[in-house]
Formats: sequence, C-alpha cells, structure tokens
Amino acid sequence: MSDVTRILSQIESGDPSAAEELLPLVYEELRKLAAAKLAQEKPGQTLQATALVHDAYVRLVDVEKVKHWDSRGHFFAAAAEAMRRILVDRARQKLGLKHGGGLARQAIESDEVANLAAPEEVVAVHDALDALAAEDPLAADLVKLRYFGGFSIDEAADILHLSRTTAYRLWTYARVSLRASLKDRGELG
Amino acid sequence: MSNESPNARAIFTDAVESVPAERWSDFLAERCGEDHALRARVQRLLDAQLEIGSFMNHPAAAAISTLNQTSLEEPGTIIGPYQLLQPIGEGGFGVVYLAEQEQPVRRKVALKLIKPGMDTRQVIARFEAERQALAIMDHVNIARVLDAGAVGQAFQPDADPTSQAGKPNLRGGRPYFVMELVHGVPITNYCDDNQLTPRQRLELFVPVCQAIQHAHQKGIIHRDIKPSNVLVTLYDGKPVPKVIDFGVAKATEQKLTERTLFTHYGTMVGTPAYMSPEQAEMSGLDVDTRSDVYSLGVLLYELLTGTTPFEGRRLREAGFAEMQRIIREEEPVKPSTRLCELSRTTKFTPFPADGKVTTTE
Repeated sequence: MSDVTRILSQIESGDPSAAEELLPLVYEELRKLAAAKLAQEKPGQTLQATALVHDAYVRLVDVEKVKHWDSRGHFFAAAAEAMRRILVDRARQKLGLKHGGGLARQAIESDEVANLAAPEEVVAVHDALDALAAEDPLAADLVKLRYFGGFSIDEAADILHLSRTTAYRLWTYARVSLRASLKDRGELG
Repeated sequence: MSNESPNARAIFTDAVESVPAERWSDFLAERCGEDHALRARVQRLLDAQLEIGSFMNHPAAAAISTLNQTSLEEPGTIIGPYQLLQPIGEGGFGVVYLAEQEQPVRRKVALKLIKPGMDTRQVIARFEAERQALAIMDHVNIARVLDAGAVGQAFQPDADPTSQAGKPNLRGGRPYFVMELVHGVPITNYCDDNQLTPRQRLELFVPVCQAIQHAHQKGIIHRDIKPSNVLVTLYDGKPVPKVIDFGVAKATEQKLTERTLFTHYGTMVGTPAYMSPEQAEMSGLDVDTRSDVYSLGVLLYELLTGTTPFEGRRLREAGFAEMQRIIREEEPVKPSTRLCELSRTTKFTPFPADGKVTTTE
C-alpha cells in the first residue's frame, strides 16, 4: 500500500492529523509531473492543472482501497494546496523574468476561454489567502480548489459537500473578501 | 465558522443577490440600523464588489503553461519578403505579428503564423481554410489577405499565393499568411473613446452588417464576432470598421483529459458572451449564418448599453453546463432596462441630454 493510500485510510478511520502528512507527498508528485510535462517539447500547450491532479491521484492512490468520497476530498484539498505553492513559485519567476528583460511580448487580451491569470494576481491572491483562511476556512478552501486546483465551482462544491447555491455564494464572498483585503493593503495597481 | 460576523456576510449576499445597487444604501440602513461597525463591514465588501472587474475570473491553475512560450519567433526574424516586428495578437494555435514588407512594395502588414509545435495536419487544415476564406472575400470592411507562404520556403514573386487553387508547399514549413494591417481599436472602445451618440454607433454598425452579409454570400460564417474582431480605423479622418479573424473557429487546443475522473474538456469555439445558443450547445452540428446574426445582435446590444446581454464574467464563472443553460434558456435584460440599471452604478453615465455616451470598464 502506498504511503498516500495508508494516510488516506488513516484519515478515513478517524485520524484527521494524518492529513498533514499528505501535503509533502502530493506536492512532490505534482512537482515531478509538472516538470516532466513542461519539459516535453510542446510549446504553447496548455497544461491543465486538474489533469495533473488527476494523474497524481491515480499514481499515488490505490483506488481499490480508498472507498470513501471524503478521502478523495482530502487528497484534492492537499493537491490544491500543493498546486498553490507551485503556481505561486512560477508566477514569481515570471514576474522576475519580466523585470529582468526577457522577451518583450505584448499579447492582445482577448476573451478566449482559456485565458491566463496574471502573475501579479496569483501572487496577490496567495498573499491574502491565509488571512481569509483564518477568518473563514471554508471560503479559503474553495479558493484553493477553484483558483489553484482549477476545479469548477460545481466540482469544488462536491468536494466540500456544499450545495451548488452555497458554493456559488461562497465564491462570490471569497472573491470580494480577497479583493477588499488587497485594497486595504494597497496591493492593487 | 467565520469570524466575520455571520450577519455581515448574510447582508452582503442579500444585497448583491436581490437588491439593485442604487438601493444598497437604504438597504444597509434597514438591515444594520444603529450598528455602524456592521454597516462599515458590509460597505467594505460592497465597495469591493463594485470594482471587482475580472479579478480572479481565470484560475491561476492555467498559468502553469505560460513558461512554455519561449520559442515564438523573435522580432527581427525574416520570413520571405517580410520582417517580423512584434507580436500583436495571439490565439490558440497562431500568432499575429506586425511585419514590414520590403518587396515588391514597402509597407507594414499583419502576418499570421502557426505557432511552433502546432503544425499538426488538423491545425494546418484549419489555418489553410481561414486563409482561403479570407482570399475569397472582397469588401472594404473586411481585412484583406495579401499573401501566403510557409516558413523556410523560397520567396516566389511569380506565384499567386492568394488563389484558391494554390496551396503553400508545407513540407518542412509552418504556414503563414499576410493580411492588410488594420490599425484600429475595437469598435466598442472607439465608440466610447469618441463618445459617439447612439445614431453614430448605428452608422458604424451598419457597415459591419454589410461585411458579414458579404461573407455569407460567399458561404463564409465568421463564428467569432465580437468587438476585438471588429476594429475601427481611420481613412481620411473617417472611421471605417473592419472585420478581422475570419472563417475558422479559433479554438485553443485543449485535449480531452485521459483520465476523466471528473470532467470532460470539450473544444471551445467562440467566446461565451457572444455565442449563440446553438454554438453553446456544441452538439457537433454545424452552425449556420444565423449564428453570426445572433452575435451581431450581441454586439449591437453592447454598443447601445455598454454591456453584453449576459455578462462575460458571469458566464465564465459558471460551470460549462451552467453557461450553456444560461445562453440557451435565459431571457436577457432588455436594453432599455439595462440602461436604467447601469445608470445607478458608479461606472456608467447614461445617455445625457446632448446624446453623448460614456461607458467605462
């Protein structure tokens, strides 16, 4: 049984502290997967975060042995947190690149569906997220799943055991709360 | 669960969901009464809501791909008789560059090139279809195609690259085509920046319809009509709208995830806020010219009210199925009603008596 499967079983049988052990394992797996995919010579390919998360899940978890929906929820929460760290690192790198000179590309913003969040926004959300988590852990979890994990609001609702209506409302609240927080700190351009 | 007093959040949610912005002040007075601290907390959230724009609309999760795009052509690269100056637009599989042509005439053009690594047969076929679509059309309000070729091909001034029959030799070369450069701004921006009256906006809109009509008569459906594809440029000081990006849907190349534990990623065509119900359906059936008419309707709505019938942000935030449902089933707010609503927010000045309009994003 893999470590992750074991941890998930522990969580299932009522030991929530085991959840802490998940993060480093999931993080490491996601990091490796992301690096491997990006190393392939396919410029312009959009790397879907949820595809990564699913890949990691299948690789790490012995699906036969993990029965309960809740366990998947724990896994995805850890994965979303891990993705958060990876994405913030890359956003910071990208911002560093821009200031350091690199390519002076100007892409026209279009309304296409797979548009990218600006690196400044990624870093700002990350900064404000811990404060939100202290005040409203559920809202912060939703942000992690949706914004960093790439799950849709519906999927995140399932993972968090919320009704769709509640999830949409919570998302509205979370966005606004983060926005207000960033305004207060003067972190918006 | 939340340290933010449960009241503040509930009041905020009620305000945003059921009370028009102009009545928020009264509403807060009712619900908060003498509790100034509570009122301030809710007000802070409402203020953020008003100017939130597209904040966090796109998951950071997609951002992981940005570091991959380092192998686009550098400015200065020479392709045939063209020198690339800078990228001015980008889609899923192609990039548009501002380029300078030297022979046989010296002028600036727009050169559209398939991105490195994207030259699969499917993508090339689409790209070629777009080029041919453009080549058939001949209308003052449609950006003209001037040339076509493939990277690495010798320049052949005798060949007629705009003919339908001639195809660029693609062995080893990524295809490109060259278009009339349209120096312009999206039609919505132009109208706002110049504070055009409703009548003036309609006068700009009519040639756009004529352009699409021309395309339809040639059997071409645009499928992605939206302000960024209708640029207004000046000829002899007169504004002229030009339709660009024709013929072929610009789908970003998303592959279906192999492990579909939760979601299928279909190929998106068009832009949600401008998509007709049948496009949103994505049943695989081809859409016809009426889809373009729908999108033109959306554009007209936006020119006259400052917003699309369904807000882009709302559609993007909804899950895919929800977005389809909204476009197919919901009745949009009437333009006249929309103008009343919008006049209450801080961002929109309604048609004042002198007929000049301003909308700000």
